[in-house]
Amino acid sequence: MKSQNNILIIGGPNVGKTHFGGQLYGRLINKRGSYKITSPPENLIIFREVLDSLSEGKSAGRTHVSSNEQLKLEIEDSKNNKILFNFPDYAGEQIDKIVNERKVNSIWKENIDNSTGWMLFIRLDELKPIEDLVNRGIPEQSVLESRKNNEINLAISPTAFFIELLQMLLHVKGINSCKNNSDIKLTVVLSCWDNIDGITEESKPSKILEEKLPLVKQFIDSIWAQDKVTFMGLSSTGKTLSNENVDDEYIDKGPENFGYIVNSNGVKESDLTLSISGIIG
Amino acid sequence: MNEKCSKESCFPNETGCNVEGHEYVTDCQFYNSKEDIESQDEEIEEEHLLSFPWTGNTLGLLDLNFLTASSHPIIIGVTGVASAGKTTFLSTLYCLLRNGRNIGEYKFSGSLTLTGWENIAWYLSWKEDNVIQYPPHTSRNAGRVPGLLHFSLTNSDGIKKDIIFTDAPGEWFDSWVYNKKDINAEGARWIHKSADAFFLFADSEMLSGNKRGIARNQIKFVGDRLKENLNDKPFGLIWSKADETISADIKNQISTYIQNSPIENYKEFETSVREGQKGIFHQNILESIEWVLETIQNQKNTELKVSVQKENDLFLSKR
Repeated sequence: MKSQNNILIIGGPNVGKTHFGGQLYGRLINKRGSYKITSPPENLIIFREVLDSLSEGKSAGRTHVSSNEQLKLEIEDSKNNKILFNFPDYAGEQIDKIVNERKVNSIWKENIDNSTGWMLFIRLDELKPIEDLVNRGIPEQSVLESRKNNEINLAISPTAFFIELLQMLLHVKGINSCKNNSDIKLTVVLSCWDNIDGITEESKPSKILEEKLPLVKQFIDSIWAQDKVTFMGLSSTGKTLSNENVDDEYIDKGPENFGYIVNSNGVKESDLTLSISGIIG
Repeated sequence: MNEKCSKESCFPNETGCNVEGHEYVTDCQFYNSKEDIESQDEEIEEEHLLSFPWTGNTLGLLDLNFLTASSHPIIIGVTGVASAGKTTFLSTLYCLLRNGRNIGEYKFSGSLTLTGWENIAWYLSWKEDNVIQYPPHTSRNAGRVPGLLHFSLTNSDGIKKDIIFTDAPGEWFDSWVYNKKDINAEGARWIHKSADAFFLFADSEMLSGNKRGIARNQIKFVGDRLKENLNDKPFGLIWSKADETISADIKNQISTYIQNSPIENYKEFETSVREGQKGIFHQNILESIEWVLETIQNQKNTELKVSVQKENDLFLSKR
């Protein structure tokens, strides 16, 4: 029997979902990784732009805001087990909208209901670090007084954003957050890994998340059963590409030879197809 | 009454269908969709939107139902007169958690009021132009219930505790101290009646200034009110802004006064937004919550003793 996997890729704007999709597809179709595509899908339109751009050594444009497409792939693992797997494509603004407007539309409701595994994309290098009284201290009262009249609107911290997003997804999915949850598998993907401050060859993704967003890590650890959650780093393209100038090395070697994941032990792997191993099967 | 639902306890636009529990509000018999006829587009849009039973902001009494339906939250009454540092204490607590600090062996496992926490912490966060300020005054409003802030904690055994803090204006307690039945003290009475534990705030800054005499009286009087029907509920005296030095006399007088009749579970904590030596003031904030959790945990009923023990009775030996 084929196992059916609906992967829900969850990530705000500009976290690298499209590049990941394109590169993952490239690896699957090249059939050199742990998972392979059995036959090319009927409709590949959602990856057209990213595949074209990457082959030209350029970065791809952003997904259209209203776009909501699914790519259905049939893949097999090294033991020839067939796995069906759906790859959704949408603009990250939709994720922001869920959290900010606190509403889920019927397309998302269906996506969440049908999902069997979640990949949460967090791009740490674009998050502004919060400096509050705990990590930076507080100035003297006289300084505070002089600044009191400036009003600035509240913007919730990335910490609150990700926790609220996960709480909302769990609620829609109808998962009880009281106990160790093993009803849905979760992979936390730290995208643009090579751009994160302070990354070394020894860095482990779970430790980096703990360092940068400790409360999000704590929340995930207390909700998910240990064997149902994976933390990994990802650099889909291996280096920064521009959407105007071509990268000759990219054209010559082919995009499938660039990009890597950093597994939970902190080891780099060029087989991007391993990124889905934690949530399928 | 809410304009979109004929039931008073339902706020369909914010928290979805509260009474009947429909996924989509328009399926509910009590939902009033008349207004939508004017704008058909809006109706179509609305039909397919799912809401969440919590808004992220501080909880009101009706919002509590969502939580109390499945658990018995521990309500910590945060009390003290105006400007005693109650809200600042709560924002510091949240900032500590956000920076990854733990409360004892417990780990953070969610919150229904993240926006509420962020709101009060926002004032104590550095902004782009380097502005940081103490939370503004929590104003006395028409509402009779304080803003309630929530988070849940889970320990390694998977035991989950829901904790609720009251974030109430000090004026409620000012009124309550002098007249228990004061119309403006409704909120203070609610806290006194509902809370499972109390923190009374003594502001070290006020106790070292010109008005220290009045401040001392106010703290004592709030303490007296809290002690009525206290039983074994934990009572913590929080010395806020403890980086300000106050005279040992004043401190001693307050402490002795509060304990002039026995309090079963009493402890004092020195706290401040400033971390103090080796982070002691911050550590004390976390420990005060841990102490409440532990104290309440230890108050579980003792195991029932079965007077007739028959070893061969299968029913009785089943545990």
